[in-house]
Amino acid sequence: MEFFVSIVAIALMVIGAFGIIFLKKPLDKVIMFTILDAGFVLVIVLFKYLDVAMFAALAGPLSTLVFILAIVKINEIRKKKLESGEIHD
Amino acid sequence: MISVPLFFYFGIFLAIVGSIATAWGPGVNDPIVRTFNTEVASIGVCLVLLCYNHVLALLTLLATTVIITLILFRAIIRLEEMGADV
Repeated sequence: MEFFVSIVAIALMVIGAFGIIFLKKPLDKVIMFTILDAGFVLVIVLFKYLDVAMFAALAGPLSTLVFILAIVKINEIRKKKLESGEIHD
Repeated sequence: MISVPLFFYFGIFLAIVGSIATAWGPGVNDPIVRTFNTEVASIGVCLVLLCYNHVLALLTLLATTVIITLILFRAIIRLEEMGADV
């Protein structure tokens, strides 16, 4: 039983890691980071540290929230700069 | 029975891959992409700490990752507003 859960957790973390590295758009990266975090929580539960699993499950969405707020703000700033005529790459 | 060395070597693999992607990965001219790739290395180090059963270090690293992400993105937003060359 634990063997199959280990395989599932490692598959989730591999998909998440390579998705974060190789996808282009920042929102796709956020989604892949959520998959990576799900695999990590699965590994912590497998090691039977349920208190740490609770903290990791609370810290993951907090991190996602920070990411999305920052991406929206930076996109807004870059669009405003592009409209005001500044050359910005 | 779970195999601890499997997760240990996988954690080392994630840490190395995340570090290389942070340094030379695709599209790292953007500071957002670079900060995202740091998360992969962070999860790898968390796995290694989990295999050594260092719970307090694991908890502290998890909490610090969220806080340092918040501070880094705040700095990036301020620098973009100022128009600095980041």
